[in-house]
Amino acid sequence: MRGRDTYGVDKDYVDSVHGKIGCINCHKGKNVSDKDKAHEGLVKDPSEKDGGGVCIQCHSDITSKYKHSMHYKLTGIFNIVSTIIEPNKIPDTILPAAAKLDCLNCHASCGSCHVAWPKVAEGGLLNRHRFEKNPPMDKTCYACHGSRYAGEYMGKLGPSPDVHYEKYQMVCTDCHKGEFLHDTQPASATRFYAVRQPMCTDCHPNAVPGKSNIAMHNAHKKDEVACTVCHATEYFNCVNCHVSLDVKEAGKIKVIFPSEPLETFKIARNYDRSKYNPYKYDLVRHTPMKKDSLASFYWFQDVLTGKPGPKDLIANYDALPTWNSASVHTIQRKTKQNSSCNACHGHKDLFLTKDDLVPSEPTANLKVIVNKIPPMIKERR
Amino acid sequence: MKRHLIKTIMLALLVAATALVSAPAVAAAGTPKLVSTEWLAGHLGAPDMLIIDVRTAANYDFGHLPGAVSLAYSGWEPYNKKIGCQLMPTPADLTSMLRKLGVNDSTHVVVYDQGNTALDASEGGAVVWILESVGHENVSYLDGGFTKWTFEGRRITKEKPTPQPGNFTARLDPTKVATLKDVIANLKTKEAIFLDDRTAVEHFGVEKRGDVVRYGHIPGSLNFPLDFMTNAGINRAPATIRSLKELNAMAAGVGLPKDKNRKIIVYCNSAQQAGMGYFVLHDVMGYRNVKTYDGSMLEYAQDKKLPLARFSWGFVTK
Amino acid sequence: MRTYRRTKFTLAVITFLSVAFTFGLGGTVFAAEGTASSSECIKCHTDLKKMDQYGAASAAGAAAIAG
Repeated sequence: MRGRDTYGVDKDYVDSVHGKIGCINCHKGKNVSDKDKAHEGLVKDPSEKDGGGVCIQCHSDITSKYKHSMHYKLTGIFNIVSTIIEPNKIPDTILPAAAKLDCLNCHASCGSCHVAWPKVAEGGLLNRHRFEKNPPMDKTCYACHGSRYAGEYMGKLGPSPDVHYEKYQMVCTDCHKGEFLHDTQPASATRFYAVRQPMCTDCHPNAVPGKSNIAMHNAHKKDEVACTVCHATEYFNCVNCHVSLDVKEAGKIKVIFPSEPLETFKIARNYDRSKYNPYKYDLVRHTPMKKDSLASFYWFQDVLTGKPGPKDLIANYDALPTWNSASVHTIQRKTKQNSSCNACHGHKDLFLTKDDLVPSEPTANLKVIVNKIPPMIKERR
Repeated sequence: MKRHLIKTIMLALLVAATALVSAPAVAAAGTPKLVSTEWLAGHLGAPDMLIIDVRTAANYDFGHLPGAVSLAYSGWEPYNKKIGCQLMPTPADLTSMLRKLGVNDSTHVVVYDQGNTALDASEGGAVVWILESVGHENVSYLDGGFTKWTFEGRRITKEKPTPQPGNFTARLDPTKVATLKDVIANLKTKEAIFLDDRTAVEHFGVEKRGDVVRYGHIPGSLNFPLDFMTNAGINRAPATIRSLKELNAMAAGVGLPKDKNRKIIVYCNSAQQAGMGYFVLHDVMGYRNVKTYDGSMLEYAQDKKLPLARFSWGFVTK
Repeated sequence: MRTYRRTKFTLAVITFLSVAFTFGLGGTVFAAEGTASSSECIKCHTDLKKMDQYGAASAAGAAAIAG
């Protein structure tokens, strides 16, 4: 996706609290009429450095936490990559260069949510430089999370939008509060679902066993099934990702990593239960990493550095599953699988089983498959 | 033991020589127009075969297929300021360009593009059309282009070959290129079918490219969008050409006749998408009488006296 | 007693001036410096018609790559 907004600044912004600071106090450059001279030494995103840049001066309460957050550091991605390439080490590969070219486009500065489109969208300002306290999700969240959560939430991917969006026009920040996004807790967390985050029960406290009017809520044990298992519809997955590069203009290298799409609905075992994802059964989404997904890096490293890269870059492919817990955002009150007990029980196709695994995929997938499908309940529909 | 070794070496030399001799013969005698990365990897270095990279010069400089020479797509369809559209160079210019690259009359040219999106792929398709339209029929198109090649971990290099000047002479084949005059004439005669290879929204006339002056399509056109022709769609990759079975089903679906002798004029905005349309119809599906309208919508829409149908599908306006 | 009053008055004046300088006058001075020091940037970037031409041109440029 691509942004279409320009660098036009509205006059009312100039009179606002942030506007009164003056352009060059944040962006540097020179206050002269000649465009090239004016842009000499320009800092495009003054909020970038050290997780806050110039924002630190007034908002240190937030930036002091934000600089450690997942949105700034992309901890999750880097941990996963370093695990699957072992014993290769990231600095010995072109992964740092690839990260600079692409991964870091999703790394968020203050400005890439509150002032301008994120780098990945290649756009200009969100709203004539006005500071957006609540980032507009269709431009900011969607730019990075478009191929999964934000896309399916708004109905741009998959069969239907999420009821919270479709019926109630809720935006991402209605649930994902700034405090969650600015301050990853616990700080030691390396995967997103181990992180403090909104829970369905925050707004639906009675939708738990023993408190609910709904028989199905009471029929399952506490933390047995994630809410999405019953309330999500089919969702979008990626199957088979490979990487290449496109250099349309000298110095502007674009990373290409497309994948075939797949719509699934798969319930699996949650092998990594945590406080914020305590469920025994959860939905899983396919991660498109293949053993040869980075095969191109061998020769790309050669043309970049004069020496080919490691022959077997993803040497530790078997370490992590390619079916991973997913907070699917296609929530509906009524779904195919919650229409009756036996709409789910006994339906093998809803569960990730050994038959769903592809032999070339990691052995770690065996940790998440369901070996025994819940049987049909005879006295029920 | 020694004799056995000599025998083995002789046999290997014989096999190698056979391969070297047979490669150009096969190429000249009808190498498939659509070649796979696997095929090309097995034929790298074959004599009288020339790989042309039509991606940007920056892409070529960064890394390219071993042995490939560079001529970016912008050079094959340069912008003609006078007419306000992109047109292929004159035969004289093409002769000079292709000779510099080392193209002989006998050369088997293999064209490749970025192959990431359908639009990338259409650059290579359009170049195949241009080569065929100036008489160089011995040309193949690499399916999936640079993207598929690298996805598969195949070798790329920075080394640039020094081509020996070739002897090819470009001669325009008017049965493969339609001019504005041909298009205007066909509006009356309806001898050829107009085929619009732009997106459905452009064809229907609710969207248009910024530099195209008017909305809509040439009345009576069928619409077979480029995006449908590759497996990439709009943003998947690599943009390999769809199977013949699917293409035939789609051709029937968009209203193209089964008769492969019917005259067809393909067009789009600039002839890039239509160039791929030509390649798919002519070289993959076997339609024999296909012309590409080089000026396409960029030229046609400028003359306000010429009819354009908007808010309709072509077959309704026949 | 008089000295005490004078001291009190002096302290009040100092406090007032400090507060005024910090929150009032100082703020104004900072603001004036801020926007004035960027007058040329503002002049150009608030010309929305001109700025949007860059966006429109780049959008058309991107489209020109395609067929």
